[in-house]
Amino acid sequence: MKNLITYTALLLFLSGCTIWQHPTLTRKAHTDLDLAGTEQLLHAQEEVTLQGYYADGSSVLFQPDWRIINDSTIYGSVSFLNALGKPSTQSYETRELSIEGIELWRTSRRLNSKERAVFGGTILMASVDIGVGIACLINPKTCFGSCPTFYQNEDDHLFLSDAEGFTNAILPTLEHRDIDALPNVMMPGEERITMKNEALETHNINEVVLMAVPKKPGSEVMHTVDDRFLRVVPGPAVRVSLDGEPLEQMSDRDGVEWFELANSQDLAAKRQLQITFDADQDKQYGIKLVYRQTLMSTFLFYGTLEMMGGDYGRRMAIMNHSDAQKHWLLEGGIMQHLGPIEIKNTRGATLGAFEETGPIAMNTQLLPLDVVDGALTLELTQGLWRIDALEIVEITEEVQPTQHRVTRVVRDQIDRPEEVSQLRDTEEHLVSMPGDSRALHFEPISAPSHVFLASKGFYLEWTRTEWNDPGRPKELRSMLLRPRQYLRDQAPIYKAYEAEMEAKFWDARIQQPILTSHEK
Amino acid sequence: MLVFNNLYLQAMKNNILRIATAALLLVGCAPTQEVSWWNLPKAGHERMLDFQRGALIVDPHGSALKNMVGELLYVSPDGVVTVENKEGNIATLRPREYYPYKLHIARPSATTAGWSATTAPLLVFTHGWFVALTAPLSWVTSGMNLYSERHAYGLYMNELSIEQIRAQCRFPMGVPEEYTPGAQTSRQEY
Repeated sequence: MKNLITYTALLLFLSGCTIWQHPTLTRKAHTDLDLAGTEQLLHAQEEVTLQGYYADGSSVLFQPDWRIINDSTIYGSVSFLNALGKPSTQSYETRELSIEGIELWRTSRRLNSKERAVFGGTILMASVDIGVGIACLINPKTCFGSCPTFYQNEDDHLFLSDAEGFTNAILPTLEHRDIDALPNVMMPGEERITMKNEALETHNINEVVLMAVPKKPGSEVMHTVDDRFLRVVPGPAVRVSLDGEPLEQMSDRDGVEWFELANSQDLAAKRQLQITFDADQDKQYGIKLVYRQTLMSTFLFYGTLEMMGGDYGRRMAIMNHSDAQKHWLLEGGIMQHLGPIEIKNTRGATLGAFEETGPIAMNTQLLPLDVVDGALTLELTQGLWRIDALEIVEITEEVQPTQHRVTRVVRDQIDRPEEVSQLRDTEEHLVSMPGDSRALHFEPISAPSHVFLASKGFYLEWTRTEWNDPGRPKELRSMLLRPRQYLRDQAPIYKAYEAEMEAKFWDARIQQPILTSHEK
Repeated sequence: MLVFNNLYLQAMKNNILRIATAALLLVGCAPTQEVSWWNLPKAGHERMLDFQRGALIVDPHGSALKNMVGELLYVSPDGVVTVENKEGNIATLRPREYYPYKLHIARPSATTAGWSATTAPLLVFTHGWFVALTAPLSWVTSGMNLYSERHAYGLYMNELSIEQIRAQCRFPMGVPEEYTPGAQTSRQEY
């Protein structure tokens, strides 16, 4: 009898236990039909209904067979509901429907078996579904950062940035000097650059120096991947192909970039481009590349921060003093699998790499080549890079740029001599807050010059409201211990994000800069 | 001294069962209040796909039987929610007021069965003297189910954005002028 009571009590206790599964939202509102389509894509194995609301509250309800035909039409089995949510038609009819007048979309799906608790029980659903992907779509500011951005034209904004300073310096001990080529030749009397803070970050700038080399007709001065400056002249025509198909987008620096969407199953999948040109063995050549990263880099970076949750500050403080962790951040972990843009010879040996990070400013760099036979391979991670131009140039001489320090800083139309001192003193840092915009004036140059911006400092990401929770330590641990598998697991999530944000970001449908100062 | 014989007990049992059954049936047929746990779809039920009612707002710190704040009707762009409570009254709540609350979007398949607690004594007719054991066990499981139902499938409102709340509203575009709160309708079983 005693055992009966014991076992009965145990059975009752166990019946109250629940299976805790990863929580998700089953009904979501979307202002954009494309986002509703993304929801359908994300749950391709499940049934997802779509309800579109007109301004008066009436709606159309699609069965799970709905499909987006184009920007203005959906096809599927639809019924019409009045403002009270009561059907105004007897049954569903299969037809095309114009989305004109529909102001809000709602997708609904059932809980799947993993989300249903045994015996009811307690399941608390988090507000963010599938982690960072959707959070980024709902609020792009959550997943966006830029470090200091520099402009030769003060009226330019984020999408026309000429340079990004010290992109990897996210901790004080990661402070380093970064050199970026500015795209336009600078004339004497125009020694001025605008520096902005357009992200939710605090920038700590130790130094900004303008480096200049006088222009010579018919030549160009380039910054190499190992921080040298070489004068080059145009080289032989280059042919770039992928899987045998020629790529025309890389022929000129014209803003038309070549890129591929990420691999749907593995974010670290590699691609090889074939480069051929007529090489003269008596000349020294280099590869000139104009490139930048896609949004994959920021997606993964901010995803990592988001997984840290409210523990972000503590973890970053520990990393600041851990060489091992910093090495992992910059060169280990997922970074070792994503890698730079590598240039290889016909024997497969790596000749060098382009590895400037950041999705905003174009990087123009030169990789000097040793003796080559006119055939090279460019290997990169699919979906991680955008290339505007690839040229073979002939190297004529190495040059030393003149250094021009800051002479004047203007912020909010007021001269800031104290900030000039901070930028000149190697022991001081100029602190820039979100929304700050400064005009930096430099010591004069003597002639029209190719100019480069050397900036040194570090920046600190502001914790987003969306990160103010326990985070996802289990997923973070998985990323740390199995980075290769993590990149495979993240692929479908990133694909959904990529489908939406690539179009919105690069097509500049967002007319204003995403980020303004002190916004949440 | 009362003397109970088997026939008398049999007759009494049958009458009680008839009355209890009738009571249960009547309870099932009677119109419910507009706002009810029954208006939520069961977890995993296919009706979640075209479910038109709003999610329920519950005060997790309230007593188990009086913690329902109401059905979510609408949320304004500045985060003010409109709810209809069990009495059929419409009220608005500012974010600071509803942040401690939870939003429930589904009810578990194993429902409260509050009825099971009240009908547990009827087990005497089937379990005999074992009812001394099974009736308390029934109360315990009913209590656990009641607890589960009140805590299952809930989202903390302070973790939801306005758009996420909007998705759970009965009227995402606004409460229609022709809407009559507290209208008597038959219970919708999901």
